[in-house]
Amino acid sequence: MKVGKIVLLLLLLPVLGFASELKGNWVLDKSEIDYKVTHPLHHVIGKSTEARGKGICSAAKCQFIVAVPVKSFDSGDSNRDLHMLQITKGADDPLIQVNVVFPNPSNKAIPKEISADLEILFAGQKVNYSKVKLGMVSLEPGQVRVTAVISLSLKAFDITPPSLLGVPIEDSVPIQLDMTWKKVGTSAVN
Amino acid sequence: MKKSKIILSMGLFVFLVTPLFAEETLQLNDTQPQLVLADAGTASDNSLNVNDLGFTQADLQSDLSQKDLDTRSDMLHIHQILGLTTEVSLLAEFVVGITTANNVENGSTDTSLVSTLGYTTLALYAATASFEMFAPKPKNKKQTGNTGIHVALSWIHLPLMILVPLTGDMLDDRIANNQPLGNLGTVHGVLATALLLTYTSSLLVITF
Repeated sequence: MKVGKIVLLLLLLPVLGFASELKGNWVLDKSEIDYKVTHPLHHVIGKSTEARGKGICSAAKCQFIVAVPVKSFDSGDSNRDLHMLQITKGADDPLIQVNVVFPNPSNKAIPKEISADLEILFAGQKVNYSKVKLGMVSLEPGQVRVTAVISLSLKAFDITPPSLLGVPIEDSVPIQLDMTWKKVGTSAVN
Repeated sequence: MKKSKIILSMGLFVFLVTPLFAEETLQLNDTQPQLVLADAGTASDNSLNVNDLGFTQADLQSDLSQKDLDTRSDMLHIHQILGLTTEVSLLAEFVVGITTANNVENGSTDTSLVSTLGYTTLALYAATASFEMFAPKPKNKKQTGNTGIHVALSWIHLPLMILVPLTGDMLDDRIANNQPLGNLGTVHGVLATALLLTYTSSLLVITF
């Protein structure tokens, strides 16, 4: 009798819906994406607030997509922005696209940090980054702030580092993400 | 014992039919197949598509084609190299100009070196400017940041680059013909100093 009840309870657990708070459909509400370029003579930060994104979290896993137009980055210097557009082949590949996948944590509360696999499409190249740490803060029910720093290698994306006075910029370009995601209708994933 | 078997059987039944319910969800949500696919545990790379994010052509289209961007970059690279060469020539011209002025004050009439250097600097400056002027650029785009200052300074050193050789040529004529120089020497010197300062500032502002 006891064994039967335990087995029943175990079997019914997934059906009873102890799903995480992440479960549902998400849209990117607002964001700021910064890149940092380091040169012996310059430290440059380019910002974009024009990213768009969507996400789906099932009970098992979460999938997100974020895209931002290359030309939307503003470093405070028009010529530098045009040069950035040129070296990243922004006219031919106008979007930076990031596909994010991570297992939906079983706990109900939003986790403080998760480890995600990223696939980044940029400058006509596709590069995978595994186990990237994403910080999460629940702002209010159905709203989550996600932050992360991803260090991109220009070489990996086949981008020739721009140079000034013959000195190229550092190959590693940290990308800082600060995004607020909003939950939308959840019926389709229940 | 019988009762527990019934409970166990019910549990097994629920466990086994759960995927069937998932399948049913799949059919009910035809309008959002990507969401259902994710829920059914059949991960698909196509479940989220960048085309669904609502970017318009205007959001993505660059003001310049990749070919024009490449040409622009190449031309500005030459502009950079020629600009540095012009700075060296301008500095040399300034030093030689001061020396020549002192020599003229002491009775010399030889201004050939400063004249030659002046025309060389003018030619280098014209070449530097042309690589910027003829480089493809986006229409109606405001120059911002240090590039904006660099361009604004060019509106000062461009007319100076015309006036300095003109006054220098007038001085040459007066020196060659043994005519009084008046204030022309001072005017030429002030204009040349302003040219050197604005041109150097223009170069420094884009470099640092």
